[in-house]
Amino acid sequence: MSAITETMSADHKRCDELFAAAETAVSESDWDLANQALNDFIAGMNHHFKMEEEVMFPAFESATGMTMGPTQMMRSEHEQMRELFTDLEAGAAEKDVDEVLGLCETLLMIMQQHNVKEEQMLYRMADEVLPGAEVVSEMQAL
Amino acid sequence: MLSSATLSLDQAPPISVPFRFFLTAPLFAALAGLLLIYYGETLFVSRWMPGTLALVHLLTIGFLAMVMCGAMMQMLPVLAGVSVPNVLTVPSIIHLLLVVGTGSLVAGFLYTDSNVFIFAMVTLGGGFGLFILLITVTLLRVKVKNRTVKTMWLALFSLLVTVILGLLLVQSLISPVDGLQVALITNLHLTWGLLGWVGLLVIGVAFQVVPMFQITPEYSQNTQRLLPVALLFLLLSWSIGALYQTSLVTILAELLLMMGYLLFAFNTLRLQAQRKRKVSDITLLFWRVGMVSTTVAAGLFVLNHFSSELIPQSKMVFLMGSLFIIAFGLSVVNGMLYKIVPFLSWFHLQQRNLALPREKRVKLPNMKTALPDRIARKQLIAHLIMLALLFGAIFWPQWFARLAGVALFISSMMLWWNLVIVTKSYRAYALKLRRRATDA
Repeated sequence: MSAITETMSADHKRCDELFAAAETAVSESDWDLANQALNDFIAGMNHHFKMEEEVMFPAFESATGMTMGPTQMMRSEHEQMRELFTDLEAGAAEKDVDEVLGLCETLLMIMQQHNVKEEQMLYRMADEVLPGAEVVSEMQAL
Repeated sequence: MLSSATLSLDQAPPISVPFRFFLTAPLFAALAGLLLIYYGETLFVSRWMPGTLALVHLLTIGFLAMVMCGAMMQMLPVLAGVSVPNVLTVPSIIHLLLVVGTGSLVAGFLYTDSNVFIFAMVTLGGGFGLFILLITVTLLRVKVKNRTVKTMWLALFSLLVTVILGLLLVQSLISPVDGLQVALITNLHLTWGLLGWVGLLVIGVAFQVVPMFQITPEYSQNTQRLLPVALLFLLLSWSIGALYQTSLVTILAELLLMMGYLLFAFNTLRLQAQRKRKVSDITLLFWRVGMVSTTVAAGLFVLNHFSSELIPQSKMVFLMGSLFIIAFGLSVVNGMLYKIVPFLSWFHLQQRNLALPREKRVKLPNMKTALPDRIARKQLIAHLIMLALLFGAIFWPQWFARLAGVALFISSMMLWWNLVIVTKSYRAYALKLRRRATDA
């Protein structure tokens, strides 16, 4: 079964597209659009983190007994990304194009290598040890 | 079944592991530039000139392999979910052996000294041997196989073939090896090195990073599944054809091999054209240069096969070598360095920053503050000028060879300096973070 991998990978893709739209708007200095797009993107990411941190990670940890393993690393990378969201909002408030684009570049890198680890390892492991369909519907109910 | 108990995702090696590879590589490319300035047009007389062999190996081992080995040790934990065993000692030894080995091989070519050649065989054989062993052990421990990991196996096998043939060729320079057809083995050595090791590794990495960095569609499942295996199969067929002098097999295999690379380069350019990310990106520009060069190289090879009058054979060798080693290899690797080095610097700093209590945290430079686009772009321009002069030098060596050397030296030193800027910024912030951590 691959319900978790499929659902969560599709959500990564959705966040990637929100990211690209936000970054494009910033690069064009279209701040009305950029602020809206950045908000949408950050909201999308936070929702994704919430699905993982409140439903999937705890389920994975109790099924495998690993609390300091991969989920711990993923949580710490979420923290690194949240820190960048705060910086992004501050940069956008000052309409500092270079700062925001530099942060976007940095965020994209950590986001993508994080996604690879999840899609190619953690989600596949979760699909093996968890009832996929149940976990997915619980996450979507959030 | 996955054995999840042994899997942790936090296995990035210390930053000094990849950085020592990345920071020495551009210096070897700069040395290649100096060599070209010193010897000038004589290096374009024949591919067998000792200076030409020295130049080629400064670029292929000193630059390309140096970065690729460092990057592979860095990327495996991320891509494959396994750590490289003994992350500090073994890579340091590999690095040292590659540096000394490249130097002695080049010295051996220039001064034709048997003892230096023996030393080069020991150090390079040892360095690459250790690297192949290390990566083999790591790949065997990979829990979740993906296409990149599978392609890495093929690239690693190609490296093994390249190194063994290389050692054999050095041996033949020390004392003639009975029955060894040097020209044939040289062709096998360079083809496995460029179209096997370098090409397959770039393809495997591209499957991951082209969609990731630019938000493009994925390479098609068929391309990802079949292309690397098909290329390796063609390399094998080509080698067997060449060894047994079956020209039909050889010609068919080499044409298909070129078509395979043409397909890859064309596909990459097509995906990049569909990217969702619209901001200009320095790595993307370097990759486009590399992919256009591959397309031109493969296209020229096929065209030249059907109308050999097009470009004289003596020029063709230099043209193909320059296109594959420099316009493709150097460009793609140079572009990757601009993503990997600033990112690793930021990533390591931020992890330490977040370990501090909130009031002690430092505002860190983002990737583009650490390495402004403006200075990376200047180096890209230097790189493009170098490529133009190099192609000029192939056809009019007496006019352009030394100028191409100057440009190669400048472009490589600019790359080196840009990486030094990032490293200096990393050091300054690492120091600041350490002080914050120890301050009461």
